[in-house]
Amino acid sequence: MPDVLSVANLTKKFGDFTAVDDVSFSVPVGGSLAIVGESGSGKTTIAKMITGLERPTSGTITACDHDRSRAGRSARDRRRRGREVQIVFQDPYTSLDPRQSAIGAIDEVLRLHHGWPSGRRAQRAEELVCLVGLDARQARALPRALSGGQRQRVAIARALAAEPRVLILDESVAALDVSIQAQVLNLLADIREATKVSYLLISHDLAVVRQLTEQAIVLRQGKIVEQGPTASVLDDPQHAYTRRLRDSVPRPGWKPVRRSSA
Amino acid sequence: MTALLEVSGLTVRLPAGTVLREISFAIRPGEALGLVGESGSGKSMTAKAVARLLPAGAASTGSITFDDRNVLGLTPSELRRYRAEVAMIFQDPRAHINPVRRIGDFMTEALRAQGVPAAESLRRAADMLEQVGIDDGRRRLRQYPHELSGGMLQRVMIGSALLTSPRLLLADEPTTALDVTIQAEVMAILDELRRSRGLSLLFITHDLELAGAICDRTAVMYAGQIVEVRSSDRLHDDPLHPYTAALAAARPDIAMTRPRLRAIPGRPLSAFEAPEDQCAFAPRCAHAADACRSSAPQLAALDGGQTRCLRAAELRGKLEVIDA
Amino acid sequence: MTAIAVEAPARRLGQLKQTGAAGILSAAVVAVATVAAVVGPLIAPYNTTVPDTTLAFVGPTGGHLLGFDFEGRDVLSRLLAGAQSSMVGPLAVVAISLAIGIALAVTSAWRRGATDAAVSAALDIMFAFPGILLAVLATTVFGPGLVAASVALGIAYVPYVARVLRGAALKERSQPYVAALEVQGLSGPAICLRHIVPNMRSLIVAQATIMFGWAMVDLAAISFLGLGVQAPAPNWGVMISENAVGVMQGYPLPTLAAGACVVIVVIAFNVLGERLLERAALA
Repeated sequence: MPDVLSVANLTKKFGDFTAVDDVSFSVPVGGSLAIVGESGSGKTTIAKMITGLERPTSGTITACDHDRSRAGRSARDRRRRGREVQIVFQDPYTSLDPRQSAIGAIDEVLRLHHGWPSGRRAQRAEELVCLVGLDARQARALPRALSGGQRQRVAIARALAAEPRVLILDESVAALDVSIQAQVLNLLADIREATKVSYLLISHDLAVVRQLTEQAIVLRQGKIVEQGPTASVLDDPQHAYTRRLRDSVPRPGWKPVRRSSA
Repeated sequence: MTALLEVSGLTVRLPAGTVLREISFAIRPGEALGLVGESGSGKSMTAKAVARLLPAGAASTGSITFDDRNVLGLTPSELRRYRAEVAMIFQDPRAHINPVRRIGDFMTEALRAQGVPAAESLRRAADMLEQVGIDDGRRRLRQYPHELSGGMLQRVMIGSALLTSPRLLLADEPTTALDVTIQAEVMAILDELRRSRGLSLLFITHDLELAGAICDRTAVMYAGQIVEVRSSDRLHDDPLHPYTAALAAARPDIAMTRPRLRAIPGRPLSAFEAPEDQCAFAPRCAHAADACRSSAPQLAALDGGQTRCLRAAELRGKLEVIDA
Repeated sequence: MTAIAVEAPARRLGQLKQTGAAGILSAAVVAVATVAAVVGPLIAPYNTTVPDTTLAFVGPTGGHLLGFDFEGRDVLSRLLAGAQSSMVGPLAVVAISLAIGIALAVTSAWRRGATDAAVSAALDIMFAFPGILLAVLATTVFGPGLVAASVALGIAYVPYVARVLRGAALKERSQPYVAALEVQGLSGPAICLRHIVPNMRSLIVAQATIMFGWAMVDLAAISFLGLGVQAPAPNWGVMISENAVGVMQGYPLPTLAAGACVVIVVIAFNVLGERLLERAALA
């Protein structure tokens, strides 16, 4: 199966500090890969490099057969990259322009990527709003009138308006209530089914990783310590850190165990 | 055994609306009670009410009794003594510690205010740091908050809270902002220290399993009310209230991929929006009957626990439980 | 999440009430001054330029509520007519400093790094030049008049505007929604113009209001010195200086009336601006 996204020997240094150290992985078309890690693991830096918000120190990033290891040279380049990889951020409260409604945000993206007349854009915007489960009132409301879960749906719709091949979910459900998180996870699964988009899930939450992904890589301090099918990584971890991560997740009957001093 | 903390019929109103409705629960000496809920459930507000930290403009009715003292009616000097006996730790340690003062100053402040000499206070603080798993206590005491990581700072907060030998500790989502491995460590420390000192604990979280890990009993809140109280080991497998069961079922499972998660339709109701004349959860409940929409259920005892559900008795054993 | 959405309307209402009597009064004064600036010359009851020395410094009589000035012209009419030049100058100053200041602040915040450092250094240098000094220099080079003085003052105010707005622009720029737009492929200038600047709107308006007050004082001083609006054109600053001889002779009313206009309007703009600033900070 061809890869829609592949990353090879990706490294990022900030002065003396190495945030990402020789990381390689790939996501197949229609597949779903999780990058698991805690703070300082480098997972967010990887997402930033793939989306072009940060420049790699070395290594290559390829999406849809186009190299994107260096900054886009022209506006056309940047727009094309926007149609290949999109991202949904963690915080629903700051990832939307507070002065723009959902329809407004989606329309702006549609205008950017397609030369469609306003009627066609409006129709597509309505489709996307429907796809993410928002009603007419919510679609026209400003973000401050929406709950966290509703705002995240808007963010997903805006990302999908560009019709990306890869959607990066950067802790996109971490800030949501449990019952809302379940709704959004179901929605994401449905969207992948319907549009065949691939997911790159960045998360520290192993249960969410299990629910949404087939492949996983575990990052610790910038390096990959384990990778493989999600089920194997979580059921039978090979690396001590992965085991520790898994054993730290609260579940029925779980009791926290004290380790060495800090 | 008489309760150390007894909350009875506590109703709190803010200018914007009612945030807590008829909250009643008790904590015995040495017992840990978990308070679990989603946004708007009122769990944080309950802890603030007990800690006498409600926002300006809050009007409270009902009673909070600590060791037979009326908490809501304490005089300023009584309140100072109360604060030494009831300590609180919060979600974001950095927001609750002065960044321009040293850790040692912060930790010993309460002790010095009680008259303990500075040298002795520092010795006790260094001791406490060791107990919470921070090495080299003397050096750490001279450091500033920004030199410590989030996990270490939270341990410092726990240590500080325990220095005045409180009898009740209120913990408002103390590990939510921490990495999961750090969370496990901090929870273990909290559990160990609590048990060794016979401390009572009110532990607030949105995570049902986390509460179950160190709390003897767990109370579940929805829309400003307590909807279930149950011993933690029975809560997950044998919940009394449909909301508890739905909450547990909505969570993804680390051990398997479910074809679809059992999401609860709609969104969590906040206390402001809760209706007075029907069950607040009825619109989202898979088991709601007509009676649920026409009368408000009361918290009633059932099988060793309590639940606020009209159909609780007939739903025993039928509430959906997903096996791990 | 829901709790926040429900609280917001109540909070906004609270902010309006917070504006209080001072804020509402200031807004009223500003409104009156603006109306006077627009229609003043048209509604002035008596002539404002033709002198009649037989009426010099005559006190308030009949329809002349504030009496006559040193050249026998109706003071009230001169004040009404003078509102225009007294307010247009500051308006130009604010417009110029905002245009340049916003551009510098936003570019600096967007590009960050070396560009930001260079702009900040340039602004620091500009801070060293007092506005009035620059205005005086400009009138020396280009001749006296409102235009030269306003342009010079506008440039002198740029560092104040840019400094305040740069902070807000940096904060907006670091928000995830800006990153989301970058990932979409929207260009920097487009994001700045369509998203960042509009989100700074309330701060910009507050800052502009405060600066209007400062500019008014500075331009009144320039006109007082004879370097701004030239007599016999009506202007409050000019009126303060040309009627100053009256104070010694026992006829302080014309000077004081003109001075009072400046002071009251400037205070009103300042108070209103501070209130708006508070609301912008709360938003």
